[in-house]
Amino acid sequence: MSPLLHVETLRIAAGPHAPALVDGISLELDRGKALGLVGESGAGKTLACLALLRLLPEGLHIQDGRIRLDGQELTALTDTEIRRLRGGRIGMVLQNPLSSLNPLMRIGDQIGEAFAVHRGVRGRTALWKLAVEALRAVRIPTPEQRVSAYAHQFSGGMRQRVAIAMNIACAPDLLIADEPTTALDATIRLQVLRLLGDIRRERRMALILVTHDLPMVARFCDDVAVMYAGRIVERGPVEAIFANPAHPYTRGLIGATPRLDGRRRLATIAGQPPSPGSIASGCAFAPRCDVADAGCRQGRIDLLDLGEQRAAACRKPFARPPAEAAA
Amino acid sequence: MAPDGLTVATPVVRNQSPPRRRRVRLPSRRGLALWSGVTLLAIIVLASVLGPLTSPYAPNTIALKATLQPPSMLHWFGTDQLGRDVLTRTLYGGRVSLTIAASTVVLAGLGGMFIGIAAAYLGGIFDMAVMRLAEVQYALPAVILAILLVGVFGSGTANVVLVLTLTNWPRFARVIRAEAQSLSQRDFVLLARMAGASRLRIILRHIAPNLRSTFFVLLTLDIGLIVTLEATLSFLGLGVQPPTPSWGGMIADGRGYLDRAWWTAILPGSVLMLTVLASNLIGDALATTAGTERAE
Amino acid sequence: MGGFLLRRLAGSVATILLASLVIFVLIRLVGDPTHLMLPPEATDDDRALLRQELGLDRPMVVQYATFLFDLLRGDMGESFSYRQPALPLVISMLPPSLMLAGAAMLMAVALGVPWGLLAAYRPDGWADRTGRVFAVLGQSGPPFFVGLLLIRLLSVNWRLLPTSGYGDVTHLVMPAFALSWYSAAGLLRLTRASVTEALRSDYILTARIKGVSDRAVLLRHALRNAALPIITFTSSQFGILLGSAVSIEAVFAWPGFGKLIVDAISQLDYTVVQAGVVVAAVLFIAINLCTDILCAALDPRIRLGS
Repeated sequence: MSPLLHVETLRIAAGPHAPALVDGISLELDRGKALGLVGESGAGKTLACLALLRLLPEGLHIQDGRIRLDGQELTALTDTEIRRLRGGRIGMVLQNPLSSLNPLMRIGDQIGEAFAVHRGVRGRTALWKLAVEALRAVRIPTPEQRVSAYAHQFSGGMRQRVAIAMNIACAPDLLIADEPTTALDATIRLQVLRLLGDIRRERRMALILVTHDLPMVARFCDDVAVMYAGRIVERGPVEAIFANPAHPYTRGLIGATPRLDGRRRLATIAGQPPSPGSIASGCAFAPRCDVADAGCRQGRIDLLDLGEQRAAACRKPFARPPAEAAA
Repeated sequence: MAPDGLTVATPVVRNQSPPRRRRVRLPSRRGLALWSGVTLLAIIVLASVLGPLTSPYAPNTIALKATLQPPSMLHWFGTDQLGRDVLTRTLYGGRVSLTIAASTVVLAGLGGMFIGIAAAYLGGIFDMAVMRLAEVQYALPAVILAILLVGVFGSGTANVVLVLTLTNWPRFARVIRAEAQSLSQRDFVLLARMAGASRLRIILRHIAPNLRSTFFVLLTLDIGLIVTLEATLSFLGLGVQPPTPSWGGMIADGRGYLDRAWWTAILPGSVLMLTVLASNLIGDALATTAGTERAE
Repeated sequence: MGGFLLRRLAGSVATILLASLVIFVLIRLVGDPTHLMLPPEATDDDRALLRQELGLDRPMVVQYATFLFDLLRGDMGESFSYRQPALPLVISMLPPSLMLAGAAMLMAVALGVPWGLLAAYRPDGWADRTGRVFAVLGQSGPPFFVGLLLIRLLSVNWRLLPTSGYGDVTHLVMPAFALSWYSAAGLLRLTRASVTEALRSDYILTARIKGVSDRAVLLRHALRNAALPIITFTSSQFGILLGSAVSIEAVFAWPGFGKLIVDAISQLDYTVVQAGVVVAAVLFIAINLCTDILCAALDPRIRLGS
């Protein structure tokens, strides 16, 4: 069965010769599966997602690449067609639920707007009825009373549920969640993530979870793609990668994750991610890599197929530094 | 006014901008506005200072044989209804208007700054009284307050400066007070207080120097407003009195000849407009750079 | 919200009282008005008698109390020049000025807001560029001079409109426009800034993610959220319009409140000046109060609390 989403060599930059912020990434997502998109701030995760919806910020454009949703080429769509896609087939939940909801519009109107745009429903009564159902689906208590409220009258976790409700209202095939729990209290995070998982299973909806939180990915996703400096450096099934990371950056990320059992010392990756275009050739991670050699700084390092649906952009996958190998 | 989320311009992809070294530089449009404003103002100021020294005409000499002459090689701006050279009078008037504006800005600025700092630091009754007084002034449109004050103190150049100063000090006082208040919460002031420094010392050594940049931005923002207010008063006959030339007064004189001799009113008025324009350009450019919003 | 209203109302009343005190003090500073009321040959005794009659010999506090009391009753003395009660005289001259200010306000909004909206929607488009020129000129031209320019162009050169005077719509157009340009300029810039700001927020992105059309995003989301500062600004402009109306009325011989005040100053008719300033202050404060209430009503965050 062909994948739901197929992205091929997607390149995003300000101009054809400007440094690329997303540098030729490729990924696939099957229907109903969850993909974790992981990386540090500035790696290009959010931009890649916005590109799917053609909502890149002013000045940035898709310079190259293909995006296919269920076989349909998204880059070739007209503006009207793309708008039908937004909310209709792809939804996106943003990071900060307070700023992503319109403070002056009632929740019922905001959720109802999705139905008005995609299902042509008119009239507040009808729209609010649908909004109540949507609120119920995200498990907000007493939705009939809540539907007339404003965003600021909800708590943080509830607001994020409202945002999710808005996005799944018209049953999209794919939901993108861009750091959906970063702005929430630790206690609420689990609830929201569980909700996302349940919805995904109920509706067979694909999910792209953008985050820098690895344990979250380990727990809630089927596959993971690790991004660094605009490129995907490793991708594959979650368990395999977490058990035995191939790319040194992935290894570093896992090592930098605090463990409650305190067994391993918290390791950090020295240095900073490079600014776009500053690494002219070779692996972008080479300056910070503990197993890099001269060959790593030349040419273009593409994704290497490692079998078992894994791939890594590394000349020396699974390599370990001498001290660790000896341990 | 609004809580977070609405007024903060959250960039859409905040967590996507790669760590770029940010160079603080004026976008070219802002820079262009600033420099054209400065150039324009400099030209006008220079002309007002030097023009009267180099002009072959005196501003007040009446020449009844040469009344209402259109602009020519002899009289670049033409002559008015009493045969006086309009250009010379415009330049002299520029001197008067600009001097009044400068004095007002300095007086209101310094006065406002002292009052603002005092209010912020002394607090209590003084602060409340000052703020209430400022509020009352904001309760009245500036022109009407100015007219009232002219009624009280009389017209004439010196009184105009007084009136304009009284009308404009709250603007400075308010901003300076707010800044001083926030500054006094900062660590280095608290440290000074813990070290036992007296209030006066803290004000002079720590707070005042940090207010300098705000002060200068405020100064430039207001010259246009003050010049306009002075011109309005002079136009209404309540400001600079004839025969001393002033832009407002010349416009008032020329009003009756708008059909026959447009240059008597329009040319001085255009110079006035250019002056205000220059000051606005500078003020806007500086306000943006300093990050303060121009409260329109 | 009730508490908010009450507090604002109390504050406004306090400001009016304080303003009246300031005005009272200022007028008294002028000196002895009896000099003006009596012919120059009057003796000191005559003057003393008049002062006693007017209550000018009593202590200041008593005078102020009387002043306030009379003010509340609507009695602000008699105009020296017109020999009529001052307050009714001033109020009777308000309608033409209000008409002028109202027309100017309408023009400013009709010009400034749509233009600013277009400029924000297409930055650096022709609306934005022409808007910038319009705004910068509008804020540089003193209203009375703009009025004269208009008279010269439209009345003298092109003979489209009458030069001055009070009458029908044709008489209103030029003074109203001259008055409105400054405010229109400010509104244009503010609208552009607020809408641009709104367009950059996350909730706009959310709306677009939902598939809402650009036009709907602009009108239903951005403009609605930018409306608050625009409304506040519009009301704050009213005071400026009132002030500028004074000079506009002089230029266009518009028989209104402003002209009355200016003439009164020249004629040293202090009761009229006093009454005029008090009326202007009350009007202005009342408008501000209404704006605050309007803003509170429109912003659910203030209205409902959290």
